[in-house]
Amino acid sequence: MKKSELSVVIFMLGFCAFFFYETLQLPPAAQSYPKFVIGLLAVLTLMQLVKMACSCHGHFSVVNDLPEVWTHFLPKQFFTFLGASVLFFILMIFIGFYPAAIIYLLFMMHFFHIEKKYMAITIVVLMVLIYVVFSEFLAVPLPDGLLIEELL
Amino acid sequence: MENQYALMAMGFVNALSPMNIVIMIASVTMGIIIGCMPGLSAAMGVALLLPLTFGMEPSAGLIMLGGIYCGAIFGGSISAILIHTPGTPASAATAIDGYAMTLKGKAGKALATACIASFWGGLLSCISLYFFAPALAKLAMEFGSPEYFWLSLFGLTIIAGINTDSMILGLMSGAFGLVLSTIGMDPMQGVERFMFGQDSLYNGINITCALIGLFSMSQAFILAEKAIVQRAKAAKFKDRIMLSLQEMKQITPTVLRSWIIGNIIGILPGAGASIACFLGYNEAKRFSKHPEEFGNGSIEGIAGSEAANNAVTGGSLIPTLTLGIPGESVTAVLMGGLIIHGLQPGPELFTKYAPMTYTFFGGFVVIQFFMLLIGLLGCRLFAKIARVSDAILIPSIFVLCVVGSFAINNSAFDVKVMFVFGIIGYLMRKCNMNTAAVVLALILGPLGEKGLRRSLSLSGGDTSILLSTNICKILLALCLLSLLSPFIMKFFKKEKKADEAVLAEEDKEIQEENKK
Repeated sequence: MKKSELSVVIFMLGFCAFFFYETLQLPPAAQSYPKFVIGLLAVLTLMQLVKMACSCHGHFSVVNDLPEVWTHFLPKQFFTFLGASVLFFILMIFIGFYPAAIIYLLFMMHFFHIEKKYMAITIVVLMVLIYVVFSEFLAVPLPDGLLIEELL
Repeated sequence: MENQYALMAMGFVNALSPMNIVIMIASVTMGIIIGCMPGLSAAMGVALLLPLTFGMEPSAGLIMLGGIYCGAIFGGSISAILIHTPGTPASAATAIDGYAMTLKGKAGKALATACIASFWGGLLSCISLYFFAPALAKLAMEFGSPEYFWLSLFGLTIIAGINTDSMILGLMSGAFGLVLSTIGMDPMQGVERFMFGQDSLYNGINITCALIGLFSMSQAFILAEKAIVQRAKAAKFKDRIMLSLQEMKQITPTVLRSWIIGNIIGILPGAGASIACFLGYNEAKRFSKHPEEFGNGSIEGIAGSEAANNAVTGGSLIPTLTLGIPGESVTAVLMGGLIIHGLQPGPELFTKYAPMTYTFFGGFVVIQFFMLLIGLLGCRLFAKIARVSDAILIPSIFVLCVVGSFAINNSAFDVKVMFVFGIIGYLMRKCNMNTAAVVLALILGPLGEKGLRRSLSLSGGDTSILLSTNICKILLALCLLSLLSPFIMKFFKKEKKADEAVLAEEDKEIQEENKK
């Protein structure tokens, strides 16, 4: 039994249990359809569990295949990207979309050791593209930022 | 019939408006750029650029998405030929003979073959789109609530069953999406379901956010987890990007064969361009007078693969537009685009919204001509773009994902939803689950729920109404048949794997040669 597959099964059963509990809070007439789809997911998850058990041929041991699944995973790079992306979102709310995007792009490309020339080209092209398409053509009011709004 | 010809003519006239022409040129160019960058897929490109269509007329928006789709499928061949790395899985078979020709100094000829074959594959696929789609839509007019329930179930079983190595995992992905589709207001009782105090979830999970998250954001995560690899330099070539008349004649039978193969694969829900290219390549080899040239730089090999993968485009639009069953993940995204513009796939597209639909069809034909023109003229430039590093792509994709999801309702909440779906998509892909099935469940879930609950409410809870008509019975049989489809697909995948093994062997040989 592979650890990665077992993790999926456990997550799905937990997901079903949580949504089933939430379904019970609904009025009885509104419970039937959610119960039907949650039941469907639970049955399929149990079928997956049975399939995994059958493939063990009687030897119920959990094989740790996680190193295989995450073979090429670079934690420092991945979590820097994830963290910077979350920070970009928070920064966008406070200082606005354009300044936050420029800071984010500068940081990420610096992290990836991109030459300054290409950094500049990427930022200019992307910002001009977003401004023309979203701000001008689609008239999307991209966030100005709470701090900027206060200052103005 | 006369009315249909009039609609076709009107569609062409509308499609040729100056604004639509600008949109076609821009979208085909963007599509080719996305396609030629290894690591970016056609589905990801269409999802990422979907918000650009918000300010457009529905027909113009669809033309744009169609242009990106066709451009991306062709674009994959550029990097396959010049750097031996298929830009999209649909061009994997092209790399076999394309790169062999590049090594012989005939890259221009290889690119011209890919471009011309893609053009004919795409153009001929429009024939079936024009003639089969309205006929299938007529059939869909007979559908009532029980039929729509079965239809949505059929759509889910077929895509969930085919696209993953494990059928149960595929079906689980679909069921997971179905549970997520229940978030929001109950359509019959008017009760809040699983909204957790978030008013923004009143209308359910926004499909565009889910699309951008599952296809584009998750791709950024996939790229960010691996070491950034410096891409190989594209081979420089001096020969003309054109074919002689003799060579055109040589590839004609292959193109026609691959068109039929690609079209049928496209119409079959669940299969896709990546399977079609290998089937087209195999058949080209089987019927060729010079099968020994295959693998060493045969233009028939390139034509077979490229005509087949582009023929999928028109074919896969048929079940998408008429029944609401996308043939593959790109068309699932395209269907999302249709729904965003307030249009529901089905017979109405060919009655009430017929002018819009035929304008899109007309545009789809014209797109093929622009693809040919831009492809032949811009190959050298696109070859340079194909080398753009993942280090630039990763943060750029994220910024575009943020701005795209924000633009839907000018709401930061949508950005959060996109981000959550990005993480879900990333983890699902790591666990071999099917993200396209989740998207499809989010689209088809509400349709199926309405169908089921309306049917039961009409019959006073009697479930026999679900099998009251012959169409219901046929759809049920199709659902059961679709559960057997993985066994049929195994046959196709065997052929694909054999060709992939050839490709891997060639890769090794080339690497060894480079070392020497």
